[in-house]
Amino acid sequence: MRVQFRTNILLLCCGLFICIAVSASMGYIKIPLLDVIKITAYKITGNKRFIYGINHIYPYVIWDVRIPRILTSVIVGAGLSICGVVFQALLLNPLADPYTLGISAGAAFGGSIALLLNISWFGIYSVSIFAFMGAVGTLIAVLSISKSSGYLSSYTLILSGIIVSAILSAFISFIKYIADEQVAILIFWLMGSFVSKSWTEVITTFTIVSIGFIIFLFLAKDLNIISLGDKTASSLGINPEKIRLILLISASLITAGCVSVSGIIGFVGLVIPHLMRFFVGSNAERLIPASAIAGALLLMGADTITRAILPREVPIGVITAIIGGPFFCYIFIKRNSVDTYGR
Amino acid sequence: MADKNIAFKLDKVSFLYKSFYNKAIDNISLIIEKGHFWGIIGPNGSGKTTLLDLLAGFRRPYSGKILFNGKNISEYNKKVLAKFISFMPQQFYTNIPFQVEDIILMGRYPFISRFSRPSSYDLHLAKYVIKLLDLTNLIKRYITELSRGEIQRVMFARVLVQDTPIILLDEPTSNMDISYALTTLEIIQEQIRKRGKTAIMAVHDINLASMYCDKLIIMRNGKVVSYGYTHNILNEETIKSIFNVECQIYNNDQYTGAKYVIFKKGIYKAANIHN
Repeated sequence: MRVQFRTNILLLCCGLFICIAVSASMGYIKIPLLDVIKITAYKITGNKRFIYGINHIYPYVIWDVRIPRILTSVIVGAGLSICGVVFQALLLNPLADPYTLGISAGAAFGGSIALLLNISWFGIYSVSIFAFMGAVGTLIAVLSISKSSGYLSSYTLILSGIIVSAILSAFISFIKYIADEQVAILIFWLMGSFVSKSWTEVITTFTIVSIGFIIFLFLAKDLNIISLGDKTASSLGINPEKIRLILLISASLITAGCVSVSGIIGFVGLVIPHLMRFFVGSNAERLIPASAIAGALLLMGADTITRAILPREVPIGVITAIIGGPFFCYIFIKRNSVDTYGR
Repeated sequence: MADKNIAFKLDKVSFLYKSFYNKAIDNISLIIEKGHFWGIIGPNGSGKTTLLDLLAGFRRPYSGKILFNGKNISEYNKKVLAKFISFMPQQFYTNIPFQVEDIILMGRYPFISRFSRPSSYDLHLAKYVIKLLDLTNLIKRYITELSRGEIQRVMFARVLVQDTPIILLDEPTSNMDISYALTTLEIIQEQIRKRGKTAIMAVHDINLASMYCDKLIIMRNGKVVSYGYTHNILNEETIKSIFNVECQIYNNDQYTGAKYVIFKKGIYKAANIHN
């Protein structure tokens, strides 16, 4: 069974690569799939023979415009989904997502300030860096409010997350109110987008998400046990507070990294873990890799739709909800009816 | 030198919850020997659960010290302690839909290294316990859709799979039907008799305690009122003094071979007299 699971994950990974190639061939300029593969081979090996006879603009379109954008969406999708798994298990709450602790509100607040005041200390990355700082600041605030009750429990964490989010949302509304010209940019950024992502973003997000992925897999067994409650976890040799803190901080930092690059993309982190639970069960050792791939596919699919199929770019958060939502409902209804009558 | 027969030695242990003024555990000194089935009885809020939490190493005493196998319990590495002491908490609740077999196998966590999968011994032990506790038809079910009695049986299975010399149980049978309650207690008794284990159980049903626990710790207001062999310390006066309930005790009941307690009706009226 375990071997079968690994094979399935490998197959899905191959599927993901094929989807990336197909997605790269789609767009305003239609590029044949074979050319995409040839260009990739050229870029990896450096052998000019591969691109012999291909339109000289194609390598630029594929390698410098489309692939970075696609890869960013893949990595962010994977990152948000694995964070969703971790937050749901840590907070013992199936409604939790990467944004429950106010990470999104913090990032939005930081990003909005940079946009509103036209801050450009860090060049084109100013908004991203401010968003990241906002998210980290919020995390510190939430943790210290939660800790003031003496013990870091899922209950106090959710409560302080909601309080801090509410305060920040009020500030964001105020910023929207006073920002006349920038309000459109602000709203579009808040709703999330992968427009004009470069290799810099790919490398940044890949570093953050892959480190997080390794930490999560390393602590997957502990994460399972923590969701049985603190007393049980403690009796099995785990320090629940310590593990919770490590996982919370790493999941929050991954979320902050993703949000600062792509804006706030909802839904993926909430729904993908649920969806994958239907297929692989709740064991985090399986749920984390499965969710990473599924999240990557969903977000890449949604980004391809808005980039290549729709006549005009629509914020990606809208797309993920529109395609992911009904699919989730379908699985949910089907699954429940089987559970109730099929046994 | 530590006595090999002593599991826990409590020396003037007190514990204080942050939000309460009263001590939950008030200056308890106690020696808990190995090889017995200990029952902790006492009124609600008398400190039974807190005492178990302290013994499990889940909470640290506010003052005093607890020796386990002759060494201060707070000096143990948690992972090491988990190989010696298993603990079944009173409440269990999770929103995460794990399958029952996953949960039972989690009891082997202290014995499985991080990236390896359960050994054939782990799986064998889990299978044995599942059969022993009649859980075969539940193993594929989700924990979130079980009844509370079923959940308790699963939790007990998780504790048994951990297979530790010391077993701590906080009202393990409170939601079970009488047949599973008796089975559970008899399995614990067998583990003590045949494998030399030690069990410490908080329990409300005094008759169950009398039937299975050979030693009792009687608590009230965070203090130990008395402790020792059940047939020596379980008597009408003690029950009257800690629960304020009149009762009659029959010795050597023909079914159980133990003391049997029958309570007097009418406590509610008696309590109202003062108003």
